[in-house]
Amino acid sequence: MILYKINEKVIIKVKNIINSKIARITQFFIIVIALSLVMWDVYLYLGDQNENISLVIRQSAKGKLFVITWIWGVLSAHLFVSKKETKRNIPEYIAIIILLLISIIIFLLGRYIPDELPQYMQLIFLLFGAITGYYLWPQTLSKQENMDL
Amino acid sequence: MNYLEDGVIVEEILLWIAGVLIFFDIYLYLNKAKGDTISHILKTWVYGKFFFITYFWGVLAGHFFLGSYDSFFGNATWNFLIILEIALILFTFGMFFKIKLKPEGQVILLLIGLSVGHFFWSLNY
Repeated sequence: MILYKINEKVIIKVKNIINSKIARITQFFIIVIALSLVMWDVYLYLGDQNENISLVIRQSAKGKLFVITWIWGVLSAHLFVSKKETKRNIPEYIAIIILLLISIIIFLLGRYIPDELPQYMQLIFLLFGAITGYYLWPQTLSKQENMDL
Repeated sequence: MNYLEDGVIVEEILLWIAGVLIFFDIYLYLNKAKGDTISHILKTWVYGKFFFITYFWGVLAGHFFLGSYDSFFGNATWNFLIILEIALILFTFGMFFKIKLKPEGQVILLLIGLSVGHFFWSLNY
């Protein structure tokens, strides 16, 4: 019995270690991607050409691909604004399906709008995305995390 | 390195990176380890010491999608230094003063970042 309990503890510990190792890999991955994007953008910026990451994203978002703005808004709510309650209103996969459907609609909308959008529309899409993202697809803070804040 | 200077290539590489990130995140979500998705890691960072990331996300949103038509100082370097300085201050607060932010605080940081990106780092001038 005791042996079994010790065994369970060991297994939990090993599991934690493995989890944290994979989490480490993710952390490393995020940092590498972010740093390489920054360095690449600096490299492009220092060259004499007119193309860098900001300009490409900006031109696309200003033209027909304003779905990017919307996705940016959704992600800012999803990544950074978490809900305190552990209760979720709708299951995550339904929320993701709804968000994907809205994205497709906005993408198709972009193909049929002939002119560039005015700048305030970008702000509206950004806020609309953030609000939908917050209500449909927030991350939740666990009780422990909530206590620590 | 001429091929990097083409805008189409930039677009293509960005799309590739986005695709890789999405598939990597789906894999992380489906595997057995808990709490290793990109969003979860970012959440732990942001609600821990590194809430300057939230601010940067807002700045980038303002930089990419908005942008004032008049610059505050007219000097891009100064504007950029101000942005970095605010980030540095936030980083110091999180790192050395053990300040933590609630979700409301994150919203405020996003809004601050958005306006800073709009006013100080516009692509419109």
